[in-house]
Amino acid sequence: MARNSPFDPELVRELAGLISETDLTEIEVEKGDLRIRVARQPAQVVSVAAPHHSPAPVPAAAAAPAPAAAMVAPPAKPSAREHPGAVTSPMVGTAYRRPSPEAKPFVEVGTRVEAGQRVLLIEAMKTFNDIVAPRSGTVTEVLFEDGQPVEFGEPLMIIE
Amino acid sequence: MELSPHARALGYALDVRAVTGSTNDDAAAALRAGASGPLWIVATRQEAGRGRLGRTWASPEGNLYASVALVAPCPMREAPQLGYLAGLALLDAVRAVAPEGAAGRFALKWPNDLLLDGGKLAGILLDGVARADGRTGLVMGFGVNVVAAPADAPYAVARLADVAPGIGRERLFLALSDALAERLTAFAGADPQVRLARLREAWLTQAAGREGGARVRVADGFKQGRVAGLDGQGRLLLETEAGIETIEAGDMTIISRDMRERRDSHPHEGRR
Repeated sequence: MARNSPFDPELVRELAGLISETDLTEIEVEKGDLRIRVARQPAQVVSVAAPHHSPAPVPAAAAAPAPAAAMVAPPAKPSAREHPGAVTSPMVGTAYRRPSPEAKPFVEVGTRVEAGQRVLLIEAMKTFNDIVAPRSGTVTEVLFEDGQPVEFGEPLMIIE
Repeated sequence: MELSPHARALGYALDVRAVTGSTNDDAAAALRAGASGPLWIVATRQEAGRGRLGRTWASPEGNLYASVALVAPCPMREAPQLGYLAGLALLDAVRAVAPEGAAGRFALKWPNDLLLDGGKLAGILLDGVARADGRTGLVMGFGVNVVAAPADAPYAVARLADVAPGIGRERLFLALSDALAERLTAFAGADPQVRLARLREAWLTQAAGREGGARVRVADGFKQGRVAGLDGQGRLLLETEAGIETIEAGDMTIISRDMRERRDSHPHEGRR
């Protein structure tokens, strides 16, 4: 985020301190063309992302974590984020796999999609945003649970 | 039903329908089909009016159901915060048609409702639409209880007729088309570095729940506190006993002193 600007570890440290004091999950500071965003994973968010290279026997998104087993998982692997077929979140919000609670999911693992096809929705402040396939291919992974909070840039789906 | 002269001069178009499924769906379809916008769609009646994810929005005749289709009003990641602009525009509109001295009876409720005397007068729903040309499409949908409010709502409701009897949906739409064009023009001309922050500040001055407090139903229960602000993403900052909580989605109930006990025995129901 601090591209082309001198990195300021003091400021980051200060923001990190402020985050833990205030219970915020994220702070973004902008000054001129310097922008620093400090965020932390809220404790109740359980990432269900499976490393995309592991031969998962069941689709990751189908496995609801049992409450007893719920623990803070590490953020999605960089491998998913950097995957050329990753569909990433353009905003902070809540991701949905279907247009309404009773409707069928837009896509499932194995669904063949065309570039520009709607594959999920992200709700933020009562705004429902289409998220479309950036390219044609087959959905090989769904990396979020229906109704899960998501962060900016978080990989949500892999299309190969 | 007609647009304000100001909106017409700015290139807004109007499509009036007797009955439709949902004006938001119609506006989204127009954007997907390549409409160059801005286009208002107004219906006398909706057969599939909707609120948040699958909830229905009661749509009898006489109330206002209006959606505006916009092309590239902002980058997509900023789109959710334009809901605050929509709320402010609707607030401008009802104040413009209400009698003098009534302005203080209206307030905005996070994220996107308009209240009259604490009851829900209107709901706003936005849809971000992906277009084949890569430009962001945005639909702002307004449902306003002009003459009728649902009798079975699990929350307090209000009608415009309670404060401005005799004001019909046509008159309200004229004011809304005017206010929205005005607000969007100002937004488009403002410094992109600060325009969202200004919008949030303006919204906050009109927000309910800053004093009496609010309760928000979130995925795992309720959070109660005072509406303290909005963060840089437009999320709600609720000051609770445990500290400041950041809330991205949830149904809010405003708590006023005389309402507190009644509300406690009737927790707000919602599907999500």
